[in-house]
Amino acid sequence: MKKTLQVGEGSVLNQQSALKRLWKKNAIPYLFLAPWLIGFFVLTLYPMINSLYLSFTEFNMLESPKWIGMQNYIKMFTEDERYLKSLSVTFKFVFISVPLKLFFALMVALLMNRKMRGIEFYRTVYYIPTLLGGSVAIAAMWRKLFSSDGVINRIIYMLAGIEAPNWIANPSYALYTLIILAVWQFGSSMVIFLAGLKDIPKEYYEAAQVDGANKFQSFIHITLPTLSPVILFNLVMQIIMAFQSFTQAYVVSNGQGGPLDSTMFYTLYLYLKGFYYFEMGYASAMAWILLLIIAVFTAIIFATSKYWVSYGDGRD
Amino acid sequence: MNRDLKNKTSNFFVHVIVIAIGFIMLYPILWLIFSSFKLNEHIFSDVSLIPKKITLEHYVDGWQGIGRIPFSRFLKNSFFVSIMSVIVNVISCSMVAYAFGRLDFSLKNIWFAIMMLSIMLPTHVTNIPRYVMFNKFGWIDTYYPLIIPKILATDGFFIFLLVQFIRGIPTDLDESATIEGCGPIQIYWRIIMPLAKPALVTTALFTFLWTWDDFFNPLIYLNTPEKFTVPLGLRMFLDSTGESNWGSMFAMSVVSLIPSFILFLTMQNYFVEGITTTGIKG
Amino acid sequence: MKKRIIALFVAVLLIFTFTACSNDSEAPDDTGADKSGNDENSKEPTDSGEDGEDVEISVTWWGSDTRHTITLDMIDAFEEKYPHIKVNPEYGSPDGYWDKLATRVAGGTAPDVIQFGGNYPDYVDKGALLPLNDFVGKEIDLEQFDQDVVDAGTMDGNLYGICLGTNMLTLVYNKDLIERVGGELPPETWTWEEMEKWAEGLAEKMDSGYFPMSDNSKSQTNYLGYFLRQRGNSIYRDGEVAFEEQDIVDWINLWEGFREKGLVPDAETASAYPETGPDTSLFVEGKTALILIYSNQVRAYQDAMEDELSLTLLPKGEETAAWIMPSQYMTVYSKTEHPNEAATFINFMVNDPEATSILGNERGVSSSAEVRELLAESSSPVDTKVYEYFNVATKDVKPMDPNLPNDQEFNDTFKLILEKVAFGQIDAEEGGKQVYELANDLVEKAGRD
Repeated sequence: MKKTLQVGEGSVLNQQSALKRLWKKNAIPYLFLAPWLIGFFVLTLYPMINSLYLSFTEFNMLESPKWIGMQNYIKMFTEDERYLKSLSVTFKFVFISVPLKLFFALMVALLMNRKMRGIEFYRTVYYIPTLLGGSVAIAAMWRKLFSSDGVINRIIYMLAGIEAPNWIANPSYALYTLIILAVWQFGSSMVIFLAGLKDIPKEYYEAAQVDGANKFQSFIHITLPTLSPVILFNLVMQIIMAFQSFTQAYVVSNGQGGPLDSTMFYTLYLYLKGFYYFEMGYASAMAWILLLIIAVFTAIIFATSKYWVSYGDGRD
Repeated sequence: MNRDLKNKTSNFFVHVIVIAIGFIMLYPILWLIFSSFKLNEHIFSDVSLIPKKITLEHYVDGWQGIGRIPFSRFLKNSFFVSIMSVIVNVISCSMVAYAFGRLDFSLKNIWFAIMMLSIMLPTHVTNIPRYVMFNKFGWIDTYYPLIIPKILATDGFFIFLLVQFIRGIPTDLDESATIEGCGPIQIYWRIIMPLAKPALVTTALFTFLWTWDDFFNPLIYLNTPEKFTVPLGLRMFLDSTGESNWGSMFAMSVVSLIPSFILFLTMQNYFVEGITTTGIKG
Repeated sequence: MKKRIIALFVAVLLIFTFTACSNDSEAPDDTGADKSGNDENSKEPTDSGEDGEDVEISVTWWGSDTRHTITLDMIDAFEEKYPHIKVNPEYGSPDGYWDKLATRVAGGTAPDVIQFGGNYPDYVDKGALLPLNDFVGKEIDLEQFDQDVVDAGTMDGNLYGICLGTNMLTLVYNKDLIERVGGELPPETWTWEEMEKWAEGLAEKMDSGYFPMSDNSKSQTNYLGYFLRQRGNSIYRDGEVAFEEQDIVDWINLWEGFREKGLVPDAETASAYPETGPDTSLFVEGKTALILIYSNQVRAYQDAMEDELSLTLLPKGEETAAWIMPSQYMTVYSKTEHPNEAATFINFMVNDPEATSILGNERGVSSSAEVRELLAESSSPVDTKVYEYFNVATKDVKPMDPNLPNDQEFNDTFKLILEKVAFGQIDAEEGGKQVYELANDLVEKAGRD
């Protein structure tokens, strides 16, 4: 302000027109942005800041919080074995389930994108596991499926003659049953891929065919690049959601994360700490560490995206 | 001729694979449906999939509901909340996504980063401050806490989804529209919206399904059982500390899947055929 | 084609919205009630109990369909008798009950009357419940109550919870399964050694995959509490941890001994069936013959099975250890604006003849033998067995000890530690040490608040 005033009348005009330009540039975009912006300031910001504050306190939810500085954060990494265990369980879950899930979702989406009799029916069938979501019924079913005399083991016995363990109850395998559960519910990613595939103009493929490209080549040179914004979306969102995975572990393990904490997901532990062990301050600290972890991964993915994501608008 | 045969055999194999995987996909729903016809004393004691004896009693009992509330009441409430959510969420998220995906404005990247950050914090820890806030607004035991956040596009998932799709749409159309004198509002309404239909349908579908399935928010904000939604109603069949009616819970789970199932069937039909390639090249 | 589908979609949408609207138009009643419910919070506190001004109180409980129906009937009867008090019932499933309650207490808007289990002390510690001492003899009449039952709802000399019915631990056995394999039925009473011998005899006759007993070493801590009380100790008594490391080591060794002999399932099977309810029970699948549950769960277990169940006493020890415990309590929220009406409501619920006849024994068996006899005449075979069990078991009881503070955390972590022992990650001594430290930490944590 001061600076421009010193220079003289001309620059006041300049400044006015700069403001005008700013207004002209921003008025309509901010109009479109308004719902989210209002929502952020009215609904989201306060709870976020409040939880950040609580993360520096001891807070049992029922009495007022007591400031304890960094203690929650220190305790987390120095004293709390269960916390570290939940961290490693979650990392393992994310790094195995997300790539598998996306791979399946993409493959099935390609399969489902064909013109074929009964395709609508198949598509729905493949979405059914996702429709069931994290319902209580799923938990009971999943336990039965992987139990020692469940269907899975009967098939293994038929094929290989081996008596397999009770997968859900075995500390070495329990997490993998939840990974399978997550991968099996690939429907949401599949639908998003399908929507993305629908957006690829047929002309691209026709042109490639004229150029003599085979199916694999057109997949690599047309499908993947055109689909890359959607792949980026699925990758980022699946990572965020996998880190926050809660419902499935909660219902399958009866809210216990067992056996031996082998399915104690990060948010499950956070939830137990907050609501059942009355340490909401500690839970808030855990939540902010998780935010930090997710943010780092997301930032890395976004940073690399300029090398592999291409947009129709030509920007990156 | 040769090519035709090749196509046919390849289609045959695709069918075989699709059906084989399809069975694995279907197993849980079959288990659920069969269990809903089993006698109570067989649900957990009998491990086979097919019921020994079939009963319809769970459907009759379950439909009568819980306490004095018929199950149809929960369905109605869920329909109301889910439909409202779909309408407002599609409108608000598409607007915000258009701003992020197509328009140029100050602080854009910062706002986008903040939006992404806001979905990275586990909601368990924001629940209490949010509850306190909604309580101050006088929204407790109303549907406002379930719908108003959607009017205000607080779910970054959908914004990000739509941004990615909108950015995937080639810009030549907007450019020619701009030359013809269209402003950003017309471009949003006349060009982007029609072309982003698959993504909009996806948004509508997921909003419906996720609102329909949501347990935690209705649990926290609704007190009067007459206002409960389906997931709350379903849990009420179970009392882990005493008597549980698993049969009715399974039966009503099947019933409450029907709307989602129908919706998915109709919507996917729509977005598969709705978009034609010619639309894009203009 | 495209247009038709859009039209269809719009039609579907319209139908949905219409349903929604019609739902909305049915709703004004609720919204009206809700608004006045909210206004209630801003109203000045009144002693309306005396001048008879209209007030509203909200009551929350969890339970099954049966409980909801009879409680609503009881509320109707209450509103008829006290027309100036309107009761807003807020009932739900036990899933999420505590999440929601904690959130509402944190938000300062919990219901006036709250149903609790044995965990009410955790809320007393944090000042969320109102002492009821001043109402006793006025709004609340405790004449008919056993002193033990009153004491169970008392903490630090203040009465907080009014008992709604009582409960006992019981061993339940699968009569048909034992007879099928040609084993002996458990006697009416036995010692730990006799129980082990019985189980050994049964184990010989059972195929692999079947076990005489379910693993109840960690399904809940009350069995441990029972074991400790037989030695004169307890989990928690007089404001402190009332056991030694060695007690836990002995408990662990007892069960690991059973496990080695194949009397209880292996660690893996035991963790697959945590025995928290009929849906996670190996006993319900007919693979074990004996299980420890609460008397109010017997009916649910029997309903989930075809085989016939019977009840027997827990193994005897040096000292009397069994106790009658309240199954649930009714409590009053500390920030209620209508404490008198809340107390009146609780009193009606536990004392009014009409209310008690509506509620029956759904929330637990009556601690009075006469009432049990009266009810037994018209009850189902399972209930009769429970009453008979009560008649025998209540003859040899001692007052209950309170739950350890932070009870849920104790239960969860105790389970984890015993699981570590069962899977061979730590030995019994280390397990005993960890449980002892855990209990002390949790008592300290509660004191810190």
